Amino acid sequence: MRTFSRITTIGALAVISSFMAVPASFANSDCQMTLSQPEVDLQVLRQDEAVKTGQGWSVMQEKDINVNVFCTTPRKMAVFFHGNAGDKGYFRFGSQSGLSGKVSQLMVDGQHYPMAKTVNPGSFLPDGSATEELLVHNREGIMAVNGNSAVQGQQMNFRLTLTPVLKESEFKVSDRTTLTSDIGLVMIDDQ
Amino acid sequence: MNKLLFATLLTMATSSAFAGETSTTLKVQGTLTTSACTPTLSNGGIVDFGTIQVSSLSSTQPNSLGQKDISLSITCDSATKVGFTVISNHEEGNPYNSVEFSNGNVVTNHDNLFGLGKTAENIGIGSYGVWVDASSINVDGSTAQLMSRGTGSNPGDWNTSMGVLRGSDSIVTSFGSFNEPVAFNSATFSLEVAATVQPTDTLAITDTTSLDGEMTISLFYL
Repeated sequence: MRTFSRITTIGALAVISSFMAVPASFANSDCQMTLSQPEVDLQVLRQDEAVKTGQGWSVMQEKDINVNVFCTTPRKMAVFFHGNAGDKGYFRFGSQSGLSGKVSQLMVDGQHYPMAKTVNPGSFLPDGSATEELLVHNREGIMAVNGNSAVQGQQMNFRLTLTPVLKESEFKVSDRTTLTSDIGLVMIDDQ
Repeated sequence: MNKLLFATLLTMATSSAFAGETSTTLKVQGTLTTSACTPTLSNGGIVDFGTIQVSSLSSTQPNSLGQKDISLSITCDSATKVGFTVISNHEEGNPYNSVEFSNGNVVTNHDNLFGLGKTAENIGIGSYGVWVDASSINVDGSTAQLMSRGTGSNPGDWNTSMGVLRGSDSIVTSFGSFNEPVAFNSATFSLEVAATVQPTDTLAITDTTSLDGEMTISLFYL
C-alpha cells in the first residue's frame, strides 16, 4: 500500500512537470505536441505473461500511444526521439532491458503518408526509403514523405508502439522494483 | 574568404531549421515484484473447532463437527488477474470421511476431502472440506463470479465454480464475470470449513488429541 502511494506521488509530480513544459514550448514555437497518454504505467511485468521469449529475452505486451502535433501554419515537420539508450539504440528500461519503439499510421492533415527516418534535425532529407512503419531508436526522427520530399502540413499524428523487451535476469528481483524510462519527443519544423 | 562565408551561411540555415521546436516527454514505468499480491487469512489462519469431549461423539458412526468460517483476503499492489490453488499438507491417513456444511451440502469426493492428521497410534482422525461462500465474495467492492479451471498446460476453459475446493494444486479458483477473470486490487471472501472425525471406536484415543489439518493456499497469477 505504501508503494502505491509512492507511485501516485510520482504521477502527480510528472503532471506538474508536463504543465510547465507546454508553455515553454509555446514560447519557442507556434506548435503543440500532445500524447494520448503522457505517462504509461505498464503495471506489474511478469515473466509468465511474456508474449514471446527466446535467447534470454522476454518480449512483453506492447502499448500504443498516439502522438499529435498541431501547428498554426503548414510546414515540414519531423519528430525526433531521444532518451537514455543502449548500444543498439533501444531506450533503456531497467538495468539490462529496453523499450522498442515503432511508429506507424502516420497522417498529415488527415491524409495517410509513408514515412522515412531522418537523423539530421536540420535537413529534412530522408535517410533510407519510405515505409509504412519504422522502428525508431535514440536520436532518430521520423517524417512524412511524398516521393523523396518531406510533406508539408499543419497537423501530424502517428501511433507510437512501445514494446518492453526484458532480459530474463531482470525478473530476478528480491523486492519490488520499478523500471522507468523517459523518452523525449522533439518536433523540428522548417519555420 | 569564400569558405568562411559558406560556413556562416550553413550555420544560419541550420539555426533556422531548429527555430521551431516543440517537445514533450513520455514517461514509461513498469514494476517487477516477487509477489504482486498477498493472501491473508483471518484469525492467523487457524480454524478452531474448540474442545470436543470424546464422550459426546458416536463410537460407531463418523461424527460431523459442523462448520467454521474463516475469511481470506487477497490484496494486490495494482490490479492483477490472480487466482488461488490449495493443497493439503497432512494427507497421510486421510479416511475421506464425508463432510456436511451448514447449508446441507455434503462433500464425498476424495479430491475435495483433506486430512485432519493422525492420532498417536497413527490412525487418521478424520477429514475436512472447504467451500467458498460465493455470496460473500467482494472484489473491489462488487460481487463477482466464482470460477475455476485447471492449472496444467491444457487448463481448459473457465467455468462457474460451485465453490468446493479441490486439493493437489490442480485447480485454480478466481473471480470475474462471464467466465473471464478480472484484474483486481482486493478480493475478500469466506471459506467455510466443515469437518468430520472417525467413530471413537476407530480412533481409540486415550489422551487429548489435536485435529491437525493443514492446507497451503497459493496464489496463481493468470
